[in-house]
Amino acid sequence: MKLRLYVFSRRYLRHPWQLILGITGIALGVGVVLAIDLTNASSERAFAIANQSVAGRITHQIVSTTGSIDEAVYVDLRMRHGLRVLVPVVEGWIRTGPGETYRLLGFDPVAVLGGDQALTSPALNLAVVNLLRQRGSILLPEHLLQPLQAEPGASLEVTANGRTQTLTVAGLIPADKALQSQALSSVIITDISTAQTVLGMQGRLSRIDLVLEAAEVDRLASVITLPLQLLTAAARGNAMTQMTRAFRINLTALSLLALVIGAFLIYNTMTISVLQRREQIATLRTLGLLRSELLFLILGEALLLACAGLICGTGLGVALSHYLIKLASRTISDLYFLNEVRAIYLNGWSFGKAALLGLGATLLAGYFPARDALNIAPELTRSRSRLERHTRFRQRRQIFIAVLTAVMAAVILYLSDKSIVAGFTALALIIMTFALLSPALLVVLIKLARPLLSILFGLTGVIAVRSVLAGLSRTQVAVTALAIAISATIGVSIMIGSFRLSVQDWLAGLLQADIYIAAENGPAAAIDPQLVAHIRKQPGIARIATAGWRDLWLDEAPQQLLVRNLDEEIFSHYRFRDNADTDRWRQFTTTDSVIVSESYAYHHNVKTGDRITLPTDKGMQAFTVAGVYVDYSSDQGVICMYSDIHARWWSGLNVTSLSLYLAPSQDSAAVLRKLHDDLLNRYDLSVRSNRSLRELSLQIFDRTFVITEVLRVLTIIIAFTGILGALLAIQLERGREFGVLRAFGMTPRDLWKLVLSESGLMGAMAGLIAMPLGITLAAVLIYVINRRSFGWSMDFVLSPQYLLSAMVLGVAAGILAGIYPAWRMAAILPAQVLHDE
Amino acid sequence: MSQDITVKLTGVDKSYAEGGRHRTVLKNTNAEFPARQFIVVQGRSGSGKSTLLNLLGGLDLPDRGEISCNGQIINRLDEEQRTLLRRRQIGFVFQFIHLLPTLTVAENLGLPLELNQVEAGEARARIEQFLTEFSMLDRMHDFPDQLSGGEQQRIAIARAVIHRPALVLADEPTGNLDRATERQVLAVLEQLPEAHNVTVICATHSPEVAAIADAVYQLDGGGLQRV
Repeated sequence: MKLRLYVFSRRYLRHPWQLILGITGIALGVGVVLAIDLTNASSERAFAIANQSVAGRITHQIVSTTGSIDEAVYVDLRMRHGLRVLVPVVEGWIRTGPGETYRLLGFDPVAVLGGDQALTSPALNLAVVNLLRQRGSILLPEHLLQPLQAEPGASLEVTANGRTQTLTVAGLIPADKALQSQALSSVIITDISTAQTVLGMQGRLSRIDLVLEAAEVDRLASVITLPLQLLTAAARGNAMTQMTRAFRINLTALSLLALVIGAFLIYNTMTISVLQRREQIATLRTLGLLRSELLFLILGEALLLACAGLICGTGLGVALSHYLIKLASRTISDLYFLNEVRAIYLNGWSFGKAALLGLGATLLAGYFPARDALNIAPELTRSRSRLERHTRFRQRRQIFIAVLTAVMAAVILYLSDKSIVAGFTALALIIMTFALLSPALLVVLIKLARPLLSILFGLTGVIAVRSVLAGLSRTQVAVTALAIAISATIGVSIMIGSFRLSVQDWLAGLLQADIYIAAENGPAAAIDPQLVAHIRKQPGIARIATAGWRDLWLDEAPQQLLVRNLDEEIFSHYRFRDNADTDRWRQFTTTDSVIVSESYAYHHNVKTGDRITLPTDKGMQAFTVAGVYVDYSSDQGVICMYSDIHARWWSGLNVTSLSLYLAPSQDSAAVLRKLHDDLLNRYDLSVRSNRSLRELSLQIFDRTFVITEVLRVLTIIIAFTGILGALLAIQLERGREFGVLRAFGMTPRDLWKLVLSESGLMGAMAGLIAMPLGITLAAVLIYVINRRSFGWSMDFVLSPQYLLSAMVLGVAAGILAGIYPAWRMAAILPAQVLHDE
Repeated sequence: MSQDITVKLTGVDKSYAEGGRHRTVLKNTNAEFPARQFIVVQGRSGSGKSTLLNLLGGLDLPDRGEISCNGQIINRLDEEQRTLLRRRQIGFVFQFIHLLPTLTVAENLGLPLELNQVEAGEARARIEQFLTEFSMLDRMHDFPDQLSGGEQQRIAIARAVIHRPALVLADEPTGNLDRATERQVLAVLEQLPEAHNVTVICATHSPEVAAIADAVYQLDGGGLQRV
């Protein structure tokens, strides 16, 4: 057994770069998968924790469609219904400085101290007592002391709803392992009365947290009626998880693509390794090594590579996750809700998944070369030409299988309705189709390119073409791997480019106002109604449109309702997907109607003319869908309602943004300056011109795809590693051939040219093959994946720059990968390699 | 492990499809090779000498007919049984030597013993015995690329007999060697039947090899005739 192992393992001592490249592929693939999984798991955990109550493990929550609950409801529930654990909560967002926004959580200390002690911890109870000692005091998590430059006993200025107040730091939130302490590690705590004062919610509560037994749930459900709603505690946590699900699935899919490329690298390495050891394998089989023993050796080798790759990949994954979590947290904050995920949640499940995927991918990638090795006939004379003929015969079989996988992909897409996972499965099958077709395409393209290359590069071009064709068993794998990586890059680039253009068009159509004003302070902030009235009277302002948001809960899922006060001209800027032959404006402003965003319509299977039911202050009410409009602001979907219609069914709404339309020939910069100096500098508002809002929107868009860019770069690195390894192996095998050429008078410089021509040719072929695959991937990403993930549609825009970049990337990768082999080959002394021994 | 063995071919046909043409290499070939003899099969290049050895070694199967070793019909065995037959009963010497480059001289000799599960101590003793016999004991820790062509082929011959097979198949064993080295290698080959109780069947077109044979056969036009 030992000697059989030495036959294979010692080879890596002689060619350590093959070992390093093989391990690198798996390490990178596993590292990326692990990093993304840790990022997703950390985000989910943070979402779950964020919604824990100060009272510990709650089971239910009472919320109101009005946005807040009268205190009397709490008193009523406690007195009349005898509920055991009932915690009134007031929460909102405060600012301590520019860009420094924190969640303020106010609760009744007496209720917590008097409640079920099993749900709290002694350390927390002690901290809570500090709040009772002094009015207007707060507890801070320890890690906020330094950024807030605060300390126990000191004062802290906070701003909410345009008013600044001074609070006193009474103490620290204890950092023990109890879940509620973890939940509180990112909030500022105060008593309920202080929170109500700071947030302007006197006499109101944000919600009521409860611990209910089964019998109590049924009893209470019959008592709680609209505008109040009884939700399970999981609903809010699930809401965050659900909102970001599509985003996280897309990240996971990208990471799996990196793993697929990494597995391809293993396949590449193992295939070339088997090919290079063909002679040794045939000798071993001739000496009497059984097929099963050979399979064990080769798969065992793959497994050892996998284990080494796993170890390196685990370290890489943990390190990368610390970087990715910041990007993901920022994107989630930009797109969904304010959050701050700081800690990486190192969980066994993520490590286990990455390990299984890495091992599985490696064994699968190693199986096919191992099976090829079993088919190496032990015979006394072995012909390389027979191998190449066999390779070409196998291409026909691959084409047949490619047709099958293409059909499977089409069937899955047709039958799978809205499943994102099915969409990605079809994408994987399409990649497999092209991978199977790529060797045949390579032969066709090279033969077509031969006359041109011969004219351009003379004999060097001819040798390069013939070498690639003659060594197809080796060249096709490397070219295919690089082609897939390049196509993934092109496909994602086309998708992002198309998306960006669609967003730009949408912004250009929608953003027609001259100045935009929005309340800061995070969600549920408001613009003072008096300020709105005052702005209306300012000279130079022709008209104002207002908007506000209402959070609804429907079937334990959150739904945003956008309420707009606008005129017909502003309404005309909405782009609708349907060409309904109705007076949409009249319907929108005078009847119980809404317009819904494309995402909403897609996710809820709704079209123009359908009716949707919403929870109002006056009970459940049906509204007619007057139109489906283009919107890229929320992938969860938005329901938009006219303010007068809203006022029929709900009371009270905070205006959160204003759109100002200036009179003709007004200088928007001057108006902006005047507004700011006279009025706005006293309030917590963001004020932007049309142009700067568009720029900001596109910046957020670009930031969203930073994480995609990182993964794309990693994928290219993995593929480049593959082609480098393949080229090294191929060129080194031909040492004797190059020795002959040198003996015939080829200079080292000529040899450089030859090797780089061959590697550049392989890279160019990879670029060419990548083009149709990249376009296909882009189409699937745009029309299937994006649609199913986010619900919106976009135009497919193909710029020549993407196709050109495929060629440039391929040729560059090929030439770069050829530099080291060229240097080694040029340095050969002909006598060295031509000597028999 | 070695024993009296008779290798017999009865009505063997073998042909290949190559480059779109059908080439008949053996046609109704009959022969019987007695035990413990040095047998040479001669023929011009492309006459089918290597094909014949492949068939005798169970590396390939005839289109028709039977090949037997001591009554056991090789071509009726499945792939695994033929592999085990090669492991236990047959040794090979190749024209291009095919020592495993990542194993030392001693380890190359040890490989057939490991495959046959010979106990480590016994294996070590046998390796040293053969290296002494072949005057290469001082090279036991060298790798093949550190040896000359003649030295490599001597080690290859030692590897072919170290596990005490009944039959050694040698395909052009001196084809790549100069005259002087060829003589050295021939000296080793010649004494194999007597010293190691094996039947040696050697395919060659070298008259020097034929000169030391106990029997010479000519392969021509698909037929095998004793000369």
